[in-house]
Order: sequence, then C-alpha cells, then structure tokens
Amino acid sequence: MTPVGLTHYLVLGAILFVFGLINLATRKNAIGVLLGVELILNAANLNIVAFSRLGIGGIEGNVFAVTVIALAAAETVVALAIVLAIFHHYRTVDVGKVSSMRD
Amino acid sequence: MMESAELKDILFYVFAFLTVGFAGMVTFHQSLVHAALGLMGTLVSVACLYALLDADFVAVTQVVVYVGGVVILFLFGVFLTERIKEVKATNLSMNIYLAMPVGLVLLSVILFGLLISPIPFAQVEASGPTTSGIGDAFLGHYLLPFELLSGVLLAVLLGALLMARREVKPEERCK
Repeated sequence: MTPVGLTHYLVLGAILFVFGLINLATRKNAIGVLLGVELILNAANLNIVAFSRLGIGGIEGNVFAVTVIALAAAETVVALAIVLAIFHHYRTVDVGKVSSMRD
Repeated sequence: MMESAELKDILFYVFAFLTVGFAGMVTFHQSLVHAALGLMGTLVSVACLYALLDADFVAVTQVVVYVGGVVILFLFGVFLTERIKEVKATNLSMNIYLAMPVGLVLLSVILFGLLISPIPFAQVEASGPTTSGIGDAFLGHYLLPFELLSGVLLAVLLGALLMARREVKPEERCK
C-alpha cells in the first residue's frame, strides 16, 4: 500500500465534489440544495489544505481555508434567510414550484 | 509498536471512508433531517482530516463554525419550513437516474485528469502549530481580505435580519 499523499486527498475531494453536485441536481427542497453547496465547498477546502500541507507548503492554504469557511457560513445564513422568506410567501420550499420573483 | 506514518495512513483511510459514507447519506437519504445530520458527520470527518494534515486551526474552526453553527442553522431551517411527516416534500426527484451517470462520468474525468497530470510538488515537512502563523498572515499580508471579510459578515448579519423577519404592519406596531 502506497503511503497517503496528495493524490489521495485530491481523489477524496473529487468524490465529495461529485456527491455535492449530484445532490444539487436531484434535491427538490431548497435546503437540500444548500446541503449540496456545503459539500462542494468542503471538497474545495480539503483540496486547499492538502495542497498547503503536502504540496507547496507555507501557511497561505490555511489562511484561504479559514476565509472560505467564514464566507461559507455567511452564504448559508443569507441563503437560509431567503428560503425562510420564500416559505413565508409561497408556503413551499420546492425549487421547482417557486418560479417567479414577484406575485 | 506501530510507525507513526503508518498509523496516520490508517487514520486517513478510516476518516476518508467516514467522509464518503456520510456524504452519501447527505446526497441519497430521503429525509432532510437525516441529510443534515449526515452533513454534520461529513464535516466532523473532514475536520479530522484537517487535523491529519497538521492544519489544527482550520480543524477547530471547521468544528466551531460549521458543526456548531451552520448545521444547527440547517436543522432550524428544516424544522421551520418542512412538514417533516410528509416524505413527499423532501423526496428526491426522478432525475437521480440522469444525475448518477453524469456524476460518474464527471468523477472519472476528474480522476483521469488527476492521473495524467504530473504533481510537481515535493513533500514538505510539518511546521508545527499553525495558529500564530495564520494570525500573522491575517494581520500582515492579508489584512485587506480580513477587513473585507468582517465587512461582509456585518452586511450578512443585517441583510439576513432584514430578509428573514416577518413584515410588521404599521397599525400593529402602534399597539
């Protein structure tokens, strides 16, 4: 068995990314779609940290990863607020049914 | 006595399988509550992988911000909007049969690209705890992104408050 290197982490990141993408494509519920976005962001973050540690070295990868985590949290908050507003308005969070931006 | 590197490899495989399993739960489970809990498992496993990559600060931030904050937000979002008893509302749609082959093709394309591309980096040594280095970077070379980030967080706080609150009619406000 080869020792775990950069490629192993990249493969894991690719699998996470594809899972997130399938989730994005198949979920009908808006909150379910957001779960897929989180998976994709984590895949990217795992790649960044793996490149930082096993690749070029230095602290920059960790700095980027922390920035991405903060921005992902912000994105989630805004998206959930929008979902709640849509739910108050349409009484549904099905992304197939909410098709107009105004009444 | 097991070698430290060997132990780390075994731990990597354990957490990688956990990550993939929980990610599958996020993607394929019918119930949104279970999917959100699967996301929690994925995030904890990825935090463990960060710890294996000697990124201690990122691992702790992942646990505090994601597992402690974002997943709880997701659960609240599910509870506030979903009639949980109705499986139909949370159901996957039929195009899973289209999405699966597309996802598999995409995965094989990515893996093929990974295989044929040379990885030009050499292994670097671990540099010990990273927290002070991250602090120096944020308050030194990356000061502008750091300040922008705090501005974004403030805007998000106000914007989310404005969007998620209920409308209050003027006559109700007077009471």
